[in-house]
Amino acid sequence: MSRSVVALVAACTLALSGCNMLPQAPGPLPTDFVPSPSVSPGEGPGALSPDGFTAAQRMTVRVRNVGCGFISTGTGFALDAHTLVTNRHVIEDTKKIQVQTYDGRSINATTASTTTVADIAIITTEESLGGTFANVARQDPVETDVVTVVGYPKGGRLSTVSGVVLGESPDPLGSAIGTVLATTATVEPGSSGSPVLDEDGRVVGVVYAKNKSNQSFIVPVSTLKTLLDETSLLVPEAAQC
Amino acid sequence: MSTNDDPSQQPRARDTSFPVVVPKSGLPVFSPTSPPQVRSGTPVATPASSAVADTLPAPASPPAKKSKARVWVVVLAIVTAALAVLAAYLWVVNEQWQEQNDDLRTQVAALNAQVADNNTQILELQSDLNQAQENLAGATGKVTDLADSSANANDQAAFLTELADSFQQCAQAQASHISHLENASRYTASSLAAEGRDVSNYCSDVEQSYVDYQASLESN
Repeated sequence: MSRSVVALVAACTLALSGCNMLPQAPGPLPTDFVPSPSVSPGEGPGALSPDGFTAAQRMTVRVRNVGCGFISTGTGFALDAHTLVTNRHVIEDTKKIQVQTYDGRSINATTASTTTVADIAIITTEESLGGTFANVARQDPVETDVVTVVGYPKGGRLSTVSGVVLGESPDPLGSAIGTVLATTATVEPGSSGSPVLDEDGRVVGVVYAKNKSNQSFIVPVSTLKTLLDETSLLVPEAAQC
Repeated sequence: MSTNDDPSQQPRARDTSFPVVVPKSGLPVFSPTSPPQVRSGTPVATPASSAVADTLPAPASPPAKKSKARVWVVVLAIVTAALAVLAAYLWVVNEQWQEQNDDLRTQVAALNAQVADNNTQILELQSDLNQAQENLAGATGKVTDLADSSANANDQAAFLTELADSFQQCAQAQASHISHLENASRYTASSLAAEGRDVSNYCSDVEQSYVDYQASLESN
C-alpha cells in the first residue's frame, strides 16, 4: 500500500514537472507592428537636390572681372549668402566684379579683399548668392586623396573634373608664402578660384594655377581657414581705372 | 478470523499451534510473513519438512485484495482523469494554434498580394523615376547651357559697354584735340603733336579691339 502511495506521488510529481514541457497556447498577435523602412529616398547617391544640381554646383559661381580695358573670368564658391572665395589674380585690376550663379542669376559684387599670403580673395555681395554654401574641411587632403574640382573652365559651362592629390609642392607662381598642393585634376584658365572637394563634398582647397604637365595647384584649406580667421591679413582691393 | 489487514501488528497470543519453522539451529522462529492460524485439533507432530511446507506464506486474504484493487482503481481513475484533462488541454491548445496559424496564413496571403501590388507599383514608379531623372538631367543641362549663354552674352555686353566707353573717350579725346588745334597758338606744336599721337594711338587701340571682337564673333 505504501509503495502504491509512493508511486502515485512520484507519478504526480513527474506529471507536474512534465507540465513545463507542455505546449503553451499562442499569445495574441501584435496589432501595432510598424516596419521601419530600410531605405530612404533622401539617402544614398541617388538622392536628388531640390533642382537636380549638386550642392557643389549650386555653391559655385562664375566670376567676371570687368577691368581696365579687359574682361576676364574665373570661378568662386559661396561661403555664405553674401561671401564668396576666389583667387586674387581673378579680380586684379578690376573696375567691376560680377558673379553669375549656376542657374544664370547675375549678381554684382560690393567689396573685394585680397591678401599677399596666398592667391586668395574674398568677395562680398549685397544680393544673396543662394542657399547652398561650402562645407569647409578641417584638414588638408593628403597624397592619393581623390578630389573633385567644380568650375567654369575657359569661362564656359559649369563642369566637374576629378583627380588625385600628388602632395605638397612649392608654389609655381611664387605668389604664396606657404606650401601648396599639386593634383592631377585637369583645369583650364577660368577654373581659377574653383573649389576642390573631397569625397564627402567638403572644400579642401582652392584651384589657382596649372603647369604644362596639366597638373593643377591648389591653395590648401588650412591656409584658407587661416585667412578667414585672421581678417587682418585681408586688404580691401581698390577699384582701378 | 481476523479482520486486521496487517496481522503482524497485532499478533495473537503464542500458541503451540503456531507454525514453526525449524531452522538449522533448532530454535523456533516466528514467521511474520503469514498470519497465525488457529487450529482446533490436537497438534500433531510432523516432520520438519512437512512443517516447512505448511508454513509458506499464504495468499492474500480477499479484503486485502479488494483494498489493493480499490487503490488501483482510484489510481487508474486519477490517471485517467489527468490524461483526459491533458488531452483536453492539448486539444484546446492545438485548436488555438491552428486558429492562429489560419489567421497568419490569411494575413500572409493578403500581405503577399499587397507586396505583389506594391512591387508592380514600384516598377511603374521606378520607370517614371528613370524618365523623370532623364528629363531632369536634360533640364539641368539646358539650364547650364542657358546660364553659359547668358554668361557669355553678359561678357559680350560688358565688353561692348567697355568698348563703347572707350569709343566715347576716343571721341572726347579727339574733340579735345581738335579744340586744341583750333587754338593752336596757345600750345606748342610739339605738345599738340604728342597729344595727336596719343589720341590716335588710343583710338587705334579701341578700333583694334572692336576688330578683334568682330573677328572672335566670326570665328565662333
